[in-house]
Amino acid sequence: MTKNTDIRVPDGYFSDLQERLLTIPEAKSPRRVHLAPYFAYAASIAVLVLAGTFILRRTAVTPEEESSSEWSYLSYLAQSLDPDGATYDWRDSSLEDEDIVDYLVNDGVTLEELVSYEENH
Amino acid sequence: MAAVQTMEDIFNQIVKENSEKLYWHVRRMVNSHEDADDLLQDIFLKVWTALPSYRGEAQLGTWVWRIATNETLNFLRREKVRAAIRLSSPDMEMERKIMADPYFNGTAAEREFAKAVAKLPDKQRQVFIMRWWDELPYEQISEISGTSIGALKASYHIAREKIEAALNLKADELSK
Repeated sequence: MTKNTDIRVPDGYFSDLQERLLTIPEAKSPRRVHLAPYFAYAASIAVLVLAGTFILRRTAVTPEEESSSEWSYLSYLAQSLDPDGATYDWRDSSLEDEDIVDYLVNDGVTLEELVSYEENH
Repeated sequence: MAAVQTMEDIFNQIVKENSEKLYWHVRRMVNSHEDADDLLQDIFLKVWTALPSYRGEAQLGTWVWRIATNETLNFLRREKVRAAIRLSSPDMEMERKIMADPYFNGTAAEREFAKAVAKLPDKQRQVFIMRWWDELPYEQISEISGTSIGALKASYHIAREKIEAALNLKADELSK
């Protein structure tokens, strides 16, 4: 089997890619970031608080809300899993489904949380 | 007197020496030109921001590959979450990308080969791609992944067997 001949790139792609990558230093100046030990503890505590929040938020949705016809699968999922769910009513959201998916993915929802959600609903 | 290299000089050198090689690696991992392009930018942004903390404990190229492979695995983890939210399976999503890739240039057999590779678990696939297409020596893969050479050889061997089995199964299906 020959190698790397089965896929190709647009014409001139690699020179364009290099040009774009070489502009990164102009846009972002590197900063040295050192996580102090107490930050690591703070991060652990934040994870625990978030996990607790997830559980509370899941139970915070009332049966009336659950049975509402305005709940789509995604809006209900977002309301249940999103840590900001309590301050944002996903039912009235004008967001497209794909935007909700992007939000959840970028917000760091994990596969484990989704599995747990599916098991409990 | 030797000229002093600035951070920008080092970064430019990293881009020139690694961007194309890393593109092919990432492209094989994500099976989409657009995703590979986006991910490459994230990887090099990460390289740039982490550059001040590079201490020379590994070869610069190995250090860059380590960032790239970790970022790629993180990307794939997010894609799995995305597939789960859409109630789809990651394998199906990957197969859909291979089938829909407008930049695929190969034969039907090569497409089946790519699909069989895509079904491997992410880390095993990464090892397979680094050996088969990127042609990296085991020593370098070991430095990048932090896995022993023996374990890498076993992983590669098992990956080849799985791919062979998948291709045989497909050949049987087609002959019926």
